[in-house]
Amino acid sequence: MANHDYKLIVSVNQDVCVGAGLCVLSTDEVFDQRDEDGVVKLVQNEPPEELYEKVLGAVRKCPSKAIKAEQIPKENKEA
Amino acid sequence: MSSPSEKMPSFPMPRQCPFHPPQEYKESQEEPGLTKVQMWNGAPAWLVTRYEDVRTVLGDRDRFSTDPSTPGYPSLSPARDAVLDAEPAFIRMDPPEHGQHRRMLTKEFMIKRVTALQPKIQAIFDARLDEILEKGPPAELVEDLFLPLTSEVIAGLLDVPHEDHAFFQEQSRRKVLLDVDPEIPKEASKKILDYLDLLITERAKNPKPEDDLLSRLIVEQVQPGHLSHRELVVMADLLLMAGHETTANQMALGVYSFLTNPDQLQLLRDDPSLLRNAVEEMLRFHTIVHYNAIRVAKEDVEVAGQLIRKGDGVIALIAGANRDSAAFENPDKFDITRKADHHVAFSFGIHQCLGQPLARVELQTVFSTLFERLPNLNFAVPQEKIEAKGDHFVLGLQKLPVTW
Repeated sequence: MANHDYKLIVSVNQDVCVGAGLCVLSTDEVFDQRDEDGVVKLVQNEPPEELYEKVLGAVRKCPSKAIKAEQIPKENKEA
Repeated sequence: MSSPSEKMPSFPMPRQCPFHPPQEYKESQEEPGLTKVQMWNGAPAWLVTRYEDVRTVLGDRDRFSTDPSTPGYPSLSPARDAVLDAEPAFIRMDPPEHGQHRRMLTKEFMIKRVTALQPKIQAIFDARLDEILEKGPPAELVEDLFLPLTSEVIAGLLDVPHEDHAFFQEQSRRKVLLDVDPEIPKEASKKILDYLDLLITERAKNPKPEDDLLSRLIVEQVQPGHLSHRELVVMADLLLMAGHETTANQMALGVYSFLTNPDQLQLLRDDPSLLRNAVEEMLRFHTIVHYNAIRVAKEDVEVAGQLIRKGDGVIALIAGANRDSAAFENPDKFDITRKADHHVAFSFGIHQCLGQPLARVELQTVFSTLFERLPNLNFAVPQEKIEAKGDHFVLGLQKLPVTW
């Protein structure tokens, strides 16, 4: 798995979500839908690196631009 | 200044080959800016053909309207206008009304609910296929397999009686005709609405929310006053129509693509894990609801360097976008190994298809089973006799006669 020099912080805007479900199809380890209305909800907002590609795919595919994935540079090189 | 109208190409443009978008879409992609076209009534409109530009237009909920009553909304044909003149469902509404209506339904089509339906869909499909196998070859797959399957799935969700399937299939077929006397789709539209009006009136007397979607909407939305009876009738019309006609057509075209590309069928047989890819690819390749993404500018807006004025009509050609080489390598090849899931066959933006999870599960069910159970499936007539549905609002095959 490629090592990224940034960390992804994911957030969702539930007001604009149209419930198309593409994020869940991209990765249900990060995205889910609320039972009461099918609107997106986050399973986790700091996904592991192996899911970055899928998360970025979900951002790109989301029809209502309800998902944001912020790339935060990794300051601490602890490893 | 207006340019002489004889220089403007007409839209819709006829397809040179029924299985590929008009060559003019490609030419438009290669030219800078946008292509100006003329509709049947003389009104101009902008054609948007490139993948990124189509996403830009359809993703802009604030500056482009989807409401056909907005002045400047492009008219495809008198027959299409006859359908659009009826009351709009949420697919033709702008925010905020659009969101209010759509959100009443989103839970019904969320991934986990639709995934849970798969065994039921599989059972319906298997039963229909058993009947066909029992009768023996040949068979006609559109009428005998795909329409019954998709109709039973959506009618099951809405609890529409089985004996009425032939009725709504026939009326839906008439509703998507573009080049006919407007009375035909108009009458079909009215018949379905009258039928659903009656059905929902009856249902409202004794709704069973645990059983069906219409009952849930009656109890959760109509009774508390969030939705009128008539609005529910219009919503049900959209669900019923979009739920069976489109998906059945996609199935037929998917089979066509596999039978005319045996190398791709072999790939799927050798590696069933390609199923999901294959379904996305057939959605991309055929883009059957090819004229659905029509908009009108609510204010001046620039797209691809072209200024679109407030009130200008805009036609976002998702069938062009899905064949844009900037987004899909070698786009005119049906290739199930490609990653195609960024296609815009279900449109893009807030109006993107609500039922897409259901369509995907139905398509995956069909294409995981069909070629396995009918390993020698082939056309029952010469390939060139397989007739496409011409320039309908939803593309498909007239008939798909097969043998095995």
